[in-house]
Amino acid sequence: MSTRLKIFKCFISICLLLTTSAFAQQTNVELDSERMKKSITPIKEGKAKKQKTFFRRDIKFGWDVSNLLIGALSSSRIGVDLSIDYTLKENVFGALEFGNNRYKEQNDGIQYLAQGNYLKVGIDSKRGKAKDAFDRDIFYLGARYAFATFEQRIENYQINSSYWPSIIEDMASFKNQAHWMEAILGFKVEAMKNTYLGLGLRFKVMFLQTGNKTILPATYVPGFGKSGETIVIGFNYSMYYNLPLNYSKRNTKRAN
Amino acid sequence: MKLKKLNLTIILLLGFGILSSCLKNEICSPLLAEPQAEFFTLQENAGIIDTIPASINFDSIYGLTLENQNLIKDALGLNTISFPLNPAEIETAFVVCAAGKKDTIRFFYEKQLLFQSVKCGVYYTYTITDIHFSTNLLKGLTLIKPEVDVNSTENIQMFY
Repeated sequence: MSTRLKIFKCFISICLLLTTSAFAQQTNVELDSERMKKSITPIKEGKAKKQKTFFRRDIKFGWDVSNLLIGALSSSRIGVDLSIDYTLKENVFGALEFGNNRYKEQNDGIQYLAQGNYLKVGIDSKRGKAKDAFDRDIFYLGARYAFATFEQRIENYQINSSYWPSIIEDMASFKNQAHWMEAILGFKVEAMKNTYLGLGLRFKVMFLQTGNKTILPATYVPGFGKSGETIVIGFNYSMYYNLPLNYSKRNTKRAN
Repeated sequence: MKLKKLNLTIILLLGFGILSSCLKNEICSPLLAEPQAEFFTLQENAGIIDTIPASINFDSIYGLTLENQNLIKDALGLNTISFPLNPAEIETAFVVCAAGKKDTIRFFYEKQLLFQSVKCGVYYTYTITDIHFSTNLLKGLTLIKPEVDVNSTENIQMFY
């Protein structure tokens, strides 16, 4: 009977241990710092132990509010621009940006409208060193490949002739695609806990536009902006929410 | 100090980007794509026919459906002429009157809409697919460049 009780006690203890460890989330800063300290504690001489280093593995959800700010000044541009970036390696982040933009321009009755979706895939590389363990501000260099598929529409357009009567058409619409690359120089500052504000300067180079030839190159490409020039300088002003994930362990070289 | 310099550089670049996008000033040129015709005469020298640029005196040229509106009236010594194609149709006919004789030239074409900009507007470019003509005064006609663009030069050679 006592043996059975011992086995039962042991089983309960293991269950409790497993449950506790599974639900234990070490998310507060103090715990982070303790773990960081442990990771950098020098190893006693003569003991060749594996040194463990930890880095934050985060996922950030971003919202580029620059189009919203521009839209407040002029009603010609509206759109939703979202982003996700994920820690791939220490100081390297995979980035995915996507959105839907709409641009409208009008002059002497003729109205131009462009609307469509874009997707950008790339990486950001954190530059510089953190001042301390709590410094989570990021200065980064990034690169993106971007693709957009969109519709361009012209309304109430007039075609003139030097001899024949001019004609006015109601509407014509065209489907187009665009491919471009971006180089980014930016920073993200942690304004509140897990909430970041970011500013990025973007050098965009258009390398291919396809689709209907009527408006080619397109006047406006979602995600790229006005595309009269091959190279365009733009910027993003984004807000990010950082979702802290588990710390990853990485074995480094054995200490000598 | 380094960070300050970096921030300043970023702000300057950003400012430059915004300014450069605002300062763009578009100048519109007339967007008319019209086929150009050049006039030649045919001269035979020792069995060889030469084409020599010619100057023609026209009484009038008008669109077949716009008889009351002349494209050209009493023009002397013309070397070239532009035939404005009707943007509402896919064929346009002109009546050419010279030396008391009349010829009809009918252009058949395909249209391609092109958008220049919101400020400058929209225009058609054309591809001439066929030309039919009478030969009362006109001896012949050759289509040398079917694509008619805003910057096109010589599309047709007309022989008198």
